[in-house]
Amino acid sequence: MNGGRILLPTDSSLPALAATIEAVKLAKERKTGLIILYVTETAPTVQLEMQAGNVALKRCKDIDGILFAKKLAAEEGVDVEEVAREGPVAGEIVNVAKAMSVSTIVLGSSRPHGMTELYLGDVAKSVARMAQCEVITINPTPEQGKKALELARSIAKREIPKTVEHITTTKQFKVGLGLFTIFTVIYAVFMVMGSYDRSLMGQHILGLNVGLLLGMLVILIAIVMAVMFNRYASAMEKKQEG
Amino acid sequence: MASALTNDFKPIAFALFVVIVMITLAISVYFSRRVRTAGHYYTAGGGVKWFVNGVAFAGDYLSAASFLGIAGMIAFSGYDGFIYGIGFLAGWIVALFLIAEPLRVMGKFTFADALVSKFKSKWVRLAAAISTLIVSIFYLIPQMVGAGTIIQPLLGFPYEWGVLIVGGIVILIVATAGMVSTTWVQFIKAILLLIAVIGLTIGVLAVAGQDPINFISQFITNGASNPKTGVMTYTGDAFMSPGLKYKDPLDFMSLMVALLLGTAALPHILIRYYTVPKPSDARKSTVVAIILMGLFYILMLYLGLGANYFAGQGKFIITDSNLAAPTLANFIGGEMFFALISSIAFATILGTVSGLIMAAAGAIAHDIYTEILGKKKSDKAALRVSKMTAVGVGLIAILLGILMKGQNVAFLVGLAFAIAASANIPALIGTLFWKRATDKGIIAGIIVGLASSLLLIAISPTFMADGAWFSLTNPGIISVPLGFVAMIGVSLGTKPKVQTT
Repeated sequence: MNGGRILLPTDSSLPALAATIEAVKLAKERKTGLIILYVTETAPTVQLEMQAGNVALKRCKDIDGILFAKKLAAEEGVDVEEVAREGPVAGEIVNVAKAMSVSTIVLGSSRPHGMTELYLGDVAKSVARMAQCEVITINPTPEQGKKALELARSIAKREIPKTVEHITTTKQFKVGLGLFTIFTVIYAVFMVMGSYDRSLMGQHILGLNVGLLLGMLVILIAIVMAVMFNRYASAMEKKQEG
Repeated sequence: MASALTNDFKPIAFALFVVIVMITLAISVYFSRRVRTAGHYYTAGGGVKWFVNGVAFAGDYLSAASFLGIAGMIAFSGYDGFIYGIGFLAGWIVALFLIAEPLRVMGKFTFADALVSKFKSKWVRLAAAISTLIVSIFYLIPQMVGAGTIIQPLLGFPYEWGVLIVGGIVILIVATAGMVSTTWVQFIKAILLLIAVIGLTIGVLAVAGQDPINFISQFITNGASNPKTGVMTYTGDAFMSPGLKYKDPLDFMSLMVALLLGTAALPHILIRYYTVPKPSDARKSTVVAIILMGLFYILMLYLGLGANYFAGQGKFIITDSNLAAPTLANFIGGEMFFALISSIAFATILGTVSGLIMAAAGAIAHDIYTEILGKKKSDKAALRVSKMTAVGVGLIAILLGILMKGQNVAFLVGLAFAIAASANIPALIGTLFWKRATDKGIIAGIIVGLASSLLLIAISPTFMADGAWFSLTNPGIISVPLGFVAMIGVSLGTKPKVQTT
């Protein structure tokens, strides 16, 4: 059990902020390092769902939970390593704990109940059930929560995202613009023919007529262009990353 | 004597309907929990999120309009119905290449957020929020009409009940929890819908005993029926080329412009781009959606023509153009198959309405309450306002759905597209691509596009019948350019605001 580092999964929720304080304290006591983990949920959610989830789990959207943990650890002289994962939240926490042989997982729990538990599940409970190491669940009292929030607000405000110029000037976007222009021309020709040259659209060809074949062709071109653009853009992204 | 669908109560259909709706809801709850609490997924790699989102995208889009409306439009108007499918898909190309990624990279929540990130003006935000609200409501109306139409033969309930049931369920879900995982509902419904459409297409070809090409070409040689009477009415050339419904070439063009530009301007489609963690995932999702929808719209040709074909053989008549697909299912596979298809259609409507209401309400509450009124007190209060907005939007949709009884849903969606394209596209293009655009220009573009499209619809043949002051049924070809003219003209006449950040 001993010797391994401490794993702190955080999502900027109020319990996670309280857990951050406890985890840093524990790491300092045990003279060991801290692993800060952020798991991105992969389920797409619309805004109202996100809002409802944030309220239910007491997430503080103006706070950067990872930054908070890093700053706090730095103040206390605790070594940190930052890890980001994507996937099922509880599963990824347990996987990281195992892969990095941590001694203890410290995580906050908002003790969801009722509708919240039905929809969102209880991550802390699932981690405790699946993990093969010590799991400390922090369920802060209102005073502890308030203190953690004040501390976090004072040192870890969230940053503002990028602006539009970052993308409209990229090469990838220009390629998209080119493809769009080509498609629009094809669509426009099809549209004008359908509107003003209806006898041509009715010409028989291959057992069908020109209009039907062209219509199917427009659908097919849309699909082919989309697939091609995606392959190109993915390749560009890979090049940028690697 | 050929008969239409009856409106009596069908116990088996009712049971199947309840089971499908319940299963859809249960699976969506199960999956949304697993995302947080499961040990691992059963799918390989991290591909699940954009695949699921892509299918959900398709689910958002393949609404009652696509399924009930286009099948009916093709059955009644031939080639002019097919054009809807082509235009609906073409809109995605605009979304993918032009709008989606810039917006996603900006990391903004709503259409208004995107505009305001460049023009720091409350008035821009207000104009955008109003446009979002109106477009959402116009898109909700056809969904409600679809629900009301399908509930009559499915369960034997009156039209109004269908509208009330959909509106009621969605309002209940939003008011109690607000976490329905609309993504999973859309995912399941898209899969069900594709299976249903593939099944029906195979059924049509098998019962007709023809291969896919022959089935279409025999229409060109033999002509087509009027499905309302079952009498062969149209020549093949008239039915299978443009112009049966849209006799005025300008009207045909107007529809195609609206469909091309409308998709990228629909708030609930824009919002779905923010639901995945990375811009590249949003793009991949779009590609998945485009492939599935392309397949879907080609198959719709077989459903619509199939309905016309068997009506022409005296197998049945179709009383309401929105019922072409369900009537066809009833003939091909009997009452069970009819119940299955109709239940899927109903679940489809439920998914679209809940997704749209939640997305739109979130956006509107965020824009007006949090940003314009500056009420930044607590997330809890903001959530409450979102929910109240959702309930309000739901009630308006129920009311208008009841008023618009009897209209073809694909046609109504065409109007929503025209409004979205006129109000939002000039503003979006100006914001993204034109350095000289000013905040006043953007506001003018939104207001002129919105007002002119609404006004032209109000004085069109749809609302004024034969004495209409404006002869086109779709306003796109006039109102979209008007929006651009206003945006450009006012921008050139005003000075750009000095940006503060």
